Amino acid sequence: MQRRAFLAGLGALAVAGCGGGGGGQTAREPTETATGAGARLPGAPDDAATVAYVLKLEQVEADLYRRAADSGFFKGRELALIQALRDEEDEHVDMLAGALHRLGGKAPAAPETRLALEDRDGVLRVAVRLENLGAAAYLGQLDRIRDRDVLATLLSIHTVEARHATALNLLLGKSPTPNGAFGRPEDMATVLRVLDVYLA
Amino acid sequence: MITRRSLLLAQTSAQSGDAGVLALLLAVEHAQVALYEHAAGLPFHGRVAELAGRFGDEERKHADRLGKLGARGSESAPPVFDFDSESKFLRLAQRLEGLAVGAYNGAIPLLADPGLKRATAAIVQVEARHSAAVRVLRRSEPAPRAFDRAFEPARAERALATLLGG
Repeated sequence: MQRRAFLAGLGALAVAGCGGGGGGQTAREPTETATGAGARLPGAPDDAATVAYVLKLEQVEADLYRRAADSGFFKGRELALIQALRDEEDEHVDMLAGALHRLGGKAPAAPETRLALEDRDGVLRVAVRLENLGAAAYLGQLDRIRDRDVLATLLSIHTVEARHATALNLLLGKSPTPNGAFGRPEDMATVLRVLDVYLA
Repeated sequence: MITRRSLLLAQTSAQSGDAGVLALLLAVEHAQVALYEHAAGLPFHGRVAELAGRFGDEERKHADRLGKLGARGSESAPPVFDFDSESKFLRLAQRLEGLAVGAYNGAIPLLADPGLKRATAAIVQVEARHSAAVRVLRRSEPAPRAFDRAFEPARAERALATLLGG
């Protein structure tokens, strides 16, 4: 059964043009550091690597909202939203760190961020970009997950990231569904390149 | 308030495997299409009217996509809604969009075909966006919990039947 799922995953990868990530194209990809599983085939689905990857995204988001909530830029309902987002991202970080541990990996320390948070609009611009990126990042990985529990966890977070993105899109006068009827996935290499902008 | 709920559900239980899962998701999409079509025919204004038009179009695209992927639903007539106010519409939309997110999140891990997983995941992201937008319009929290729920197909089917007046 596991072999079948594995082969199915490889087939999905071929269809996707190896764009799902874990392909070893960039030095930042977390496959080996997260799992020590260097013996895997290049591009093969690797749940631990995927969890480590989305954990990194969540760590950056949690850091953003912690700083934003303490910045003094937000009041009233907007502050309540920022605090709710912070609390939910913290829960995502904890859940994913636990999942990574169960998969035999070790949660990396939260990366140092470089977030230019000079005013309300600046914070929201970073937040909306990260949340839409996060939703796309999860979507880019969901068909590559082998373990059903891990998939259920990532699905339950993916749609919350989409909710966050939507709340921020609306706050900034943007469309709630910027890509229309279907979410657009993003591959790991692209996401990590964007994330790099916010890392020290 | 809502009739002919049996429409959609009659065939979902009769199919198994990926076909059964797809039939349930198609039933959810058909209910959403009917909801937004009814709303689009009412004299709503501003953001509510805009939302009903946009989301209705997107739900129709979801139903079309599921059909192209092999989903087969009931031949019966679609559900009929008879609400007449913005507040009733938004309350129903919030329930139905939340149900859709749970139904997809519960269904996707059950799908064997990776292509179906990919396609349905792209849809559930938009269902979550719809859900959040409706909740914001109702001055509710866009993300009421850190982890969205996942409904087993049987539970999703019962919830849909209840919402459709069964």
